Amino acid sequence: MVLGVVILTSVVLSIFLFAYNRTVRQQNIRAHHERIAEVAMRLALTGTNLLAEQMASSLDTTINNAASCLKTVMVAPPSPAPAPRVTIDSSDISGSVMETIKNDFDAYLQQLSDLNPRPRCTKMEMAFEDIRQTTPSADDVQLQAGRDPVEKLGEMVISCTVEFQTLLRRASIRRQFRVVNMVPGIFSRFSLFVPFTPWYNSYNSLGVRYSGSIDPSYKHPFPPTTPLLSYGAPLKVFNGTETVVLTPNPDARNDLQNHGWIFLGPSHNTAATDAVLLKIPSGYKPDAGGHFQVALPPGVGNGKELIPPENIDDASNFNLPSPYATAACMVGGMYQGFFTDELDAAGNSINPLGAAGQGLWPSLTPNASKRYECAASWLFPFGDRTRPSRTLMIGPVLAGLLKFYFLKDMTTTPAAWKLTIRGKGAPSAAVASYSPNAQVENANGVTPAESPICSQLCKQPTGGADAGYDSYKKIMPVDFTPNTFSNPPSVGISYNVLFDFMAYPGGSSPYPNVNGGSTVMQNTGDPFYVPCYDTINNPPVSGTILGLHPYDGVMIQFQKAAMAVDNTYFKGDLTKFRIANNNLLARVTHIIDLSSCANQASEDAAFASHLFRPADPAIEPAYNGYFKPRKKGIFYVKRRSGVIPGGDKLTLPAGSGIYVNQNFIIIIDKGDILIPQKIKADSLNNAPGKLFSLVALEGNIYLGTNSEIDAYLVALNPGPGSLAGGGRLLCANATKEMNIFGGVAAWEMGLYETNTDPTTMSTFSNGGEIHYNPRFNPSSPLYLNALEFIPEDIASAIEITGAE
Amino acid sequence: MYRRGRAFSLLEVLVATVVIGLAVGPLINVLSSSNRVSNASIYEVMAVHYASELAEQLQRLSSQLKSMCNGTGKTVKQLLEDPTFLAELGSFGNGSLDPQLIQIPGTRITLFLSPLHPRFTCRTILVSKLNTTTQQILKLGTFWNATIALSWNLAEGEVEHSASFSVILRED
Repeated sequence: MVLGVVILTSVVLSIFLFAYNRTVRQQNIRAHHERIAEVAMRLALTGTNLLAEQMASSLDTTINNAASCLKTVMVAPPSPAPAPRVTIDSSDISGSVMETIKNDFDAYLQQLSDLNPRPRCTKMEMAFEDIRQTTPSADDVQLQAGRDPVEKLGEMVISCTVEFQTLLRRASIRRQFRVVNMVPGIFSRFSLFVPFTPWYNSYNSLGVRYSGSIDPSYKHPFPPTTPLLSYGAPLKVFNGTETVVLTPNPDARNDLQNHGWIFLGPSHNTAATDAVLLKIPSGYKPDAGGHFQVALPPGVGNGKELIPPENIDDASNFNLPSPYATAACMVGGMYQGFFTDELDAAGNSINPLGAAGQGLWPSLTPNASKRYECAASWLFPFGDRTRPSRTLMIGPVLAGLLKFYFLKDMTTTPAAWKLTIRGKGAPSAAVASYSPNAQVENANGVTPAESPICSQLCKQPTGGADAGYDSYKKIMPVDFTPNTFSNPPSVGISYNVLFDFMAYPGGSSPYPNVNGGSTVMQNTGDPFYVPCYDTINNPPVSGTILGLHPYDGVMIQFQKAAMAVDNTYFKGDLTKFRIANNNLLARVTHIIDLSSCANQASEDAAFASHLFRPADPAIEPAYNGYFKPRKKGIFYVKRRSGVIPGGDKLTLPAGSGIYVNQNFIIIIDKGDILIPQKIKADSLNNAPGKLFSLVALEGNIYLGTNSEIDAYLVALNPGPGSLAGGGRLLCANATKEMNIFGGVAAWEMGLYETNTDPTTMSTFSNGGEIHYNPRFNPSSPLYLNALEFIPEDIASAIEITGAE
Repeated sequence: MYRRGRAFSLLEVLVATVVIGLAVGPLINVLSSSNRVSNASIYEVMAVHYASELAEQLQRLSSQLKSMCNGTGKTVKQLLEDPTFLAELGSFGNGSLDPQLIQIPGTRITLFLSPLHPRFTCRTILVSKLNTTTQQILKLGTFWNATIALSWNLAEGEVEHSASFSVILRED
């Protein structure tokens, strides 16, 4: 019995122990599995992270090919239909890419010598789910509010499967993503976007000599600062990456479609719709350079002429007197730009009152105190003489030019110039002979003491003393020259008609048709690309001020041809365009909150460390010492409270500059921002290849360097009359000049008549250059390239599962 | 008449003793073996958790590796194989169960790790650079293999057990 009990007990104990042993062994196997699974899981997770990082940086082509709906406008799905899902795996058109990525990752796994046998990557996959447009509709109202209909959000699912010791683990991470446009807004259609002009004469402050060189003696009396402002150079705007070449058949339509346009808002001297006057400067001297040539002056054979001598055939208003009644001759007109001084061959001033001192133009009174009436435009929207640049000017902008007339005798070979302005008032009056030393009368028949002598203007006609022409006043089309004493100037020629959009009709003449405008423009059927001549010369709203008015329903179309589903266009009043919190926040991909910073130094440091990092000299040797953006995206920077325009400036990191190696936009919520050093992107097809935009929402942008700034600068907060509102691009460098390759959108730029607060013009007295980067052009075929896929930095969900 | 009661015979006792001896001896061995296997499992699971928490934090470091290297002038290998850092990594945390805060020398990066169990003899990281020459797409930046190695024994003087885990880090 005892034996029985013992044996029974032993059996029970054995059963218990073997059960325990079995449990322990299962636990052991599970622990071993857990270790294998941990290795596989960790590697699968690594694979998903690597793929996610790669997607954020260099899989744009794959995304474009396999998930093109991400970068096009799609019709919103009717509720409750599910939002679309796009998967990219080996069965997809981009499957080869995913296969390559899988092989790449697998090649890394095969190098993990501590793991035997080596793990293997068996599958890589990515998918986009819940794709939705951020803008509910694709109409112009949304675009006017600053929303791009192409922008989207959704969720990206990235999966990677790894096999290790026959165990499969599949890691999936879900990250929210956005597709955002690195074109900052519709205003970047413009090389220069300035909605507010203080007064009609705001931009005319440059002293130019008759020869075309800068007149350093000229002091501008507006605003009445102490000392008065003196300008050393103009601001030249180049609206494309190429300069215009005078070819026989230039493609004006494409040129204007691809070039940056210029918007100068109406002046506010009396009303918000007044004209803006740009006085075209004189300039023909070849070695002076830099100025726009509007006519070929006597005795100067070189230089480019963009406006030809005008040929007038108007028998109803004047009759040719004897001997020209039977002679072959023609009446011509010649344009002359504004100038403030004239030198003789020895370099001595012979006409210190400039164009007024010539006395030929009755609106310019020879009066030293009114010398400013001869100041030329500081803003050269047309480039310069050697690099003319076409553009479309939007706004009631009138071009100011001076003009005088002559006869050309067609009986001689070559045709000789003849003076036409020596005659007396009445048609029946005797015609005086050409007298080289006689002073020239002006249009009123008066001979001011300062007026030039005939030989300064004209050659002696063949045959000696010929009669002049006495209908000078009749053939003076005064509406071609804005009356600068009319405030605002109510007559004149709209800028674009005068320059004919810089379009050259080709054929035998390289000149545009000044009177008739461009045939190309007149017949165009796409007003949003190229407004036709009639639109500009007969503004439907104002009726009095010529030009393409910003409130006439300006239309800017996006990708009409390249993207069939996207017919969205901007349509509305450009002067009311705002870039503000309510239309920007939806686009922002990252918020950088600096509000806890105690002072400006800590704010600058946090700003720099969050957004930038040093360029790698080993990889980017040309950018040693530069900073570069950490990532692409639209960054909204919240500054500390109490910062106001005119106060502490948030400073971009200096070093040697900023290297723009990827697209990004920085939006500063308030206060001013300082650019201390150059901003440089690698050039691609003659323009910066990556886009950087800097937006001061409620502040000014200070430029602390005259080095190249490859960026679009935006300060559009309305703040006329005071720094308090911001909205200005201001100078903070000793050279007082700018060199921007991108574009500028500032609320205001011009001089005030009396307000002495700093403005762009008053601080950049040595002008500079603005080159438009066509990659910012939302109407360009390059627009698609500005769309960026921005995944969230951190996964919203991580899922580890087994796999088949 | 006195009636003798039935008693265990010596033989029975001897047989029972032999039976018990034959049965319990192996059972005790089995029990002991199971206990050791069980302990081995526990330590292996602990090793997985040690490796997991370290691997997760190393993976999160990926985005900062470049600036850490620039800031210290060291490579990723030099940073993660720093003797001071590895010594702290392999320490037992003074017997406390509180998490250890281990700073990567020269940086502001601090790892948050569990103290090692006394049976663990090693927790270390070995870093090697991965070759990117055959890769076509996943090759932007520098790729590193961080091997997390853990060793432990079940009792003093016993054979040491070890486990390795790998994490691929991308420095860009």
